[in-house]
Amino acid sequence: MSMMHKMMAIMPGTISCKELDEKLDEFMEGDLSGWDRFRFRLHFLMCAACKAYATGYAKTVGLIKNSIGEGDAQDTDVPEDLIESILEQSSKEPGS
Amino acid sequence: MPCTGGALPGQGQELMVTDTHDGDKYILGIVIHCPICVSFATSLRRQQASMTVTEDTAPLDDDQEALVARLRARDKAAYEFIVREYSGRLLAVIRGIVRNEEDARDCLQDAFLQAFRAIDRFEGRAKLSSWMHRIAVNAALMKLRSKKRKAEASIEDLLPEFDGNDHRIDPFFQPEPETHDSLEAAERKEAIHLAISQLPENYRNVILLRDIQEMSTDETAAELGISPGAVKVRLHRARGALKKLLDPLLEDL
Repeated sequence: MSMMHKMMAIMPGTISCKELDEKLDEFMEGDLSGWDRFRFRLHFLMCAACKAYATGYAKTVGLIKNSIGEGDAQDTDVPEDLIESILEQSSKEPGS
Repeated sequence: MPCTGGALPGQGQELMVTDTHDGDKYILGIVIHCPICVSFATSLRRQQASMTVTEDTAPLDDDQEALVARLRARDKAAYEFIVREYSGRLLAVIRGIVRNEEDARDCLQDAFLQAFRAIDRFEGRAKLSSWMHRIAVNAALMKLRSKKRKAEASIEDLLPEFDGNDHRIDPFFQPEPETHDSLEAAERKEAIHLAISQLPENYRNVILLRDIQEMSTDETAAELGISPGAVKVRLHRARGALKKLLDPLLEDL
């Protein structure tokens, strides 16, 4: 255990790395109380590992959200032979 | 039945009435500036307390419930409608994931086939277009995963680790030797798609619904038939796993 983590363990109001991890989404979405947000910031001041992790986590979420846009997808022309092939395939399904 | 007494004769106005197999009449459409037709249609409507709507006549684009019912009844016209209506957008989404035209065509076919087979399980909580989008994205991700010969990852192996005092361990980033220092945008996107494809299905679906389709926690829970708490846990674990898979990329950002 690092010196910083030993200090955090005895300081009142601090949270553990695991608790911070569990509440990270709530922190990012602004769903935490003022007290909890303070505890998060205090933890980040003392724990570089969690700060780096949270930064990477937020970047990851950003990457995911921008990776496959449902609303952004532009309608594209679909070759008629592909449409016909899909329709033919479905007609072979049981019950069709 | 052609209109013979319309206000604007010769302009093609028709009262379209047709017979059903049991002899009942129902109205397909009416040109409202023909007073005779309007009158006749009104009397017909009064005669029929409940209008018979057959599979060839109901509107397809503004009533999802009716459309789904017709798809479940294996109505070919309804199926052709969704194929023609959704193919363009879905193909664009798929092309953004698999960058090979032949693979994209395969994925689109797979997606519609899966949808066709699963339509009885579609519960109508989401829009049909969103449901189709998720099926298409999953088909494309699975194609990408198989092409890249990647296996499904174990979530447990990708989650952050903590010691007995709940302190984070192994915080230091170690780039994997196979990664490149600087990836082009397209390569970066493919790496993200590949990472998502490696998630187990129950985690991947939560990511698709919450982060890609931007559904709320409650909507996602209803769609997947799990509790909101389970959605939150899965989302967090999936994001954590993706972070670990994408760590090499994050260094460049």
